[in-house]
Amino acid sequence: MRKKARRQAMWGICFLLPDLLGVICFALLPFAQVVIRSFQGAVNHKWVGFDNYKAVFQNAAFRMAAGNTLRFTAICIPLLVALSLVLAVTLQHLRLGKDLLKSAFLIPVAVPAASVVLVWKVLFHSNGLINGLVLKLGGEKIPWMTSGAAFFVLVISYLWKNLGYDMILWMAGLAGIPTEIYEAAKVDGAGEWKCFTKITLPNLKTSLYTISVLSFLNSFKVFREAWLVAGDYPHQSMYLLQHLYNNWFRDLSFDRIAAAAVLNALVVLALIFLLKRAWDAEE
Amino acid sequence: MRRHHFLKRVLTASLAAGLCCGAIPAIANEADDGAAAMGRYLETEVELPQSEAGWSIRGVARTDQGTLRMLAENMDDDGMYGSISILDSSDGGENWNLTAKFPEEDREIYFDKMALRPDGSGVAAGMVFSEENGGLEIGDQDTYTSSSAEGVMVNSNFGVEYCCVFFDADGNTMHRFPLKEGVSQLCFTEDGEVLARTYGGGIYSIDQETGEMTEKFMGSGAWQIAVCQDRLLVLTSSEVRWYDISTQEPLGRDESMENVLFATGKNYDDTSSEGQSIVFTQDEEGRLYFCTNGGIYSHSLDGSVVEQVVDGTMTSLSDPELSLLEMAVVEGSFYVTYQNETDGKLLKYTYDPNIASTPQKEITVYSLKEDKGLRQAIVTYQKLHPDTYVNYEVGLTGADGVTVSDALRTLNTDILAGNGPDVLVLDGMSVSTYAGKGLLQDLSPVLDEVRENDGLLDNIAETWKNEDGIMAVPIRFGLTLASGKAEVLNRLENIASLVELSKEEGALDYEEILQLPEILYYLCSNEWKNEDGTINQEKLEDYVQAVKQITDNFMENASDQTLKMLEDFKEEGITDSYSGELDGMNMEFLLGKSKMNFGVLLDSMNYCGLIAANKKMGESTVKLFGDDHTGVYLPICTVGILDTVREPEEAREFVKYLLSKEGELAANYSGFPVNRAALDKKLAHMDVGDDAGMEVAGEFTGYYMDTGESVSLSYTWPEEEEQEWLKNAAESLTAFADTEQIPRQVVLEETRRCVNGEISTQEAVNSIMQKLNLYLAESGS
Repeated sequence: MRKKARRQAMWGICFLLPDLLGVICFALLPFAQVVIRSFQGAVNHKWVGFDNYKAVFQNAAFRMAAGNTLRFTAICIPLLVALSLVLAVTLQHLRLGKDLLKSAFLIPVAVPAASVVLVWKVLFHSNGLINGLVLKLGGEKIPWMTSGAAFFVLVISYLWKNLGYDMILWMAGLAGIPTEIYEAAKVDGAGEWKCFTKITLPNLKTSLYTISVLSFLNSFKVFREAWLVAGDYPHQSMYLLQHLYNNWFRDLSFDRIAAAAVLNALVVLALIFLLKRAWDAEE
Repeated sequence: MRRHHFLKRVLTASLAAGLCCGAIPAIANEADDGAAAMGRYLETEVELPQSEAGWSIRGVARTDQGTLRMLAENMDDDGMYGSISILDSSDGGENWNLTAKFPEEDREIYFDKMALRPDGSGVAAGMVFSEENGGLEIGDQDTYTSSSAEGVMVNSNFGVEYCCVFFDADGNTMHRFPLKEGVSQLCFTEDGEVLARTYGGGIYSIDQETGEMTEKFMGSGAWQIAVCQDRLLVLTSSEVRWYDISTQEPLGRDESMENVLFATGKNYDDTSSEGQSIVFTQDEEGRLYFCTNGGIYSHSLDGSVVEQVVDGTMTSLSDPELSLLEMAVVEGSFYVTYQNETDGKLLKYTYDPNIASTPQKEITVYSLKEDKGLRQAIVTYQKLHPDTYVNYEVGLTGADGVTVSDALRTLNTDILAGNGPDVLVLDGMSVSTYAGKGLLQDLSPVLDEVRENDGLLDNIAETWKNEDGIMAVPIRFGLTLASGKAEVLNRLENIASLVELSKEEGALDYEEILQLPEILYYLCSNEWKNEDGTINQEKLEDYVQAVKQITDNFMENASDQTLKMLEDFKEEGITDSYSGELDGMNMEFLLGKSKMNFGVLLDSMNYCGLIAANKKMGESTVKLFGDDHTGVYLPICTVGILDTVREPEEAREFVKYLLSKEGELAANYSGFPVNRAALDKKLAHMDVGDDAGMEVAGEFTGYYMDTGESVSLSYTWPEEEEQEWLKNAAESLTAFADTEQIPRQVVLEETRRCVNGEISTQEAVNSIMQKLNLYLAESGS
């Protein structure tokens, strides 16, 4: 019996090995090298200790970019999670047009970034559609991409792109909740709100963890649209960490990129760890 | 059941093994026995028959006796044009026999296009300039007219008549016919029919009995044609097409040739009397060969492979000034005749199986944008060092939408991976970034050697000197000058005074206005930086305001015609590519419509033009342009050697050559040499044999098609005091223009938006400040 179990375990390891080797070769080892580089000079690989970390923390551009990225994450993730949950619950209760609406919300996921950028330009240019509408209504032109409004354009773009994706994940989670629980609750006199707060939400905690992590990781992809629209130096409110890494790479500041990347990874790991801890504690 | 279970295990194990194999990089099994591939074509110059003034080659072809026949104009002959001689060589160009000469009466014709049949007979096409209507005076107001009588087109402003001459194998001219249109290319079919491509891109057949031109294949759009066996190749703006000659039916496109010819976005619509950018020929077996700057290629009809036979980067073919004339192949050797700025030559390419196919030493040179002067220097360097291959890489070819940032990131990726170039041309890059990261070697020993031999303009050569040495050196430079009426120039002290002058009608002209952001950027860019590395907003605001005000002032006084022209330029996007270069032969100034022009002077020809224009207009002068009468210099082709260089000796040798007199003189493109001896020679042009100031350096003719206004100007080489003035001016310069592309792009983009009225001055300044502050903050700590 033990021999059989060991043999089965060996088969499992054999199947996992190729992927594990891939992760080691293409993710873990390079990251280990990044960590080492974060303690070395940019080009000469001379050991500099924590000088790079000091330089990163003291760099005004890094502080601005990190602040913008945190602000973006803090605003977008809760909004996205909440909105997509509301949408998922609404769609779940719909009888007609459910599939059509599901597909409609998923379309933005498939739209390439370059196409999104074209739409941005048509809508948010100083002589674009939205300003045209504003002028017609008697207002003044809004410099969407050259003022603080650029940040909210980014937020809206992120929400628009990822709403459908998160909604589908929520719907998968909702589908996993046994309907008998709802029936039993209704028999006991529970209303919709009570069902939602006492049955739906607790059963969706696993999905919440997954969706939060995925949304957080997707938030870094919004850089593509921001860069395509506004280039290397967008309005300050849109200046994210990836802009900084991009520009540092152009300026050969590999040491600072490595240090900042390590800090970035630590923050992300910490957040995910906290989330997991909260989820485990609930369980 | 057990068997089924076993098969399942075997299948899954095989799949897993396959996945593993796919994830493991294949180990290349190189049969490296240390032996290099041997054999390549070597270039030699064919010595032409003795002639003091030289030969101007018009054509070369193989005859059916296997001899090489050449048609060339002997420049020794008196008169406007030399006689066309037919020379034959049966030993591959070692010796030449003069077979025949065109008769005297044909010497009035400027023959620029020729074609030969295999038997040695042929046709030559050219033009006659009518003395009655030739030449123009400044301010001539005659409008362009044309009249057509008996198929002869006469340009009443330029008096040109086109004609062709047929000659037999012995060189006797048989018929001379007028042509209704100018011909830019001629070729013979296998049946002896003459096909001509006109300047308008149409393909015609020329009747050999009457000279009548009949349209065939197409009326326009052909950029090049070539005959191969029974087919006609037509090169258009984006296609290579084949036609059946006898039926004129299209046979389809040749995609393999298209992939080669259009890969870099090159266009071939540049035919002139001095040559073209591609030539064709076929060998005895009907295999097609063509020659471009990239080299010589071979292609068989109906084949899908184009093979590079001669790598142009290792020969003179890569010289950007080269204009190809004709090509022939005789007994496996290629003969290519070309014309450049100074003379024509016949090059021979012969296969040598005993030489390595690529030189054993290689150095890589990288620049963001193509530097034609550098390419010329590479061509001559390789001739002197055949054991070294100089691989010139360009980051922004223009063909693939790569931005400056993208190109720099790609470069840095290569440097990080250990595959970076050996010599880096830092134009458009931050020299301080590369030097500050310890990536560049100290070039002081190289400069010391050159200084000892020829002398250097140290104020420019040591632009990037710091406590660690000289990490980068500009090979060439430009300087900001203003030229024009003395009473205007005397009031030009700084940019504020330029703003005042712009209020006067006729003070400036549209060329300066179009380039104003660039020109003033050169003057002001280094003044915006405070000592602590921040941007001085006040000075930046002064710059943007000055550009806006000067432009607005000019527009207020400009005529409707000028306003329309500027609008047209804007729509065509021409304003996006200005460099701020000073045009020495400024038509507006020569027509008396403006009183001065200014910008960056980049070559001696423009300096000659400035001087000649000032003399022509009278009471005019030239001075350094900048604040307090001091100008700035623009470092051009700033080179550095990377610390990761693989062939350090060769790289240093190459940089030394670039700085040497020979290397500087090999580059005929923008910028004055930093090498003193080369600068002296460029200005004096002493090798022509006449005293400076006496020899005609060139002629300029310009006209406006809309109004018919035209101007012509002859200019001579500068006299000694004019040469000294320029040299002293260059030596006095201490401030240099910032050439880094990233901040430059930011500033110019927002300034142009302000000039175009899209945003206000304050908005432009705020936007620039925000972006530049971010840029500076990134590099700060």
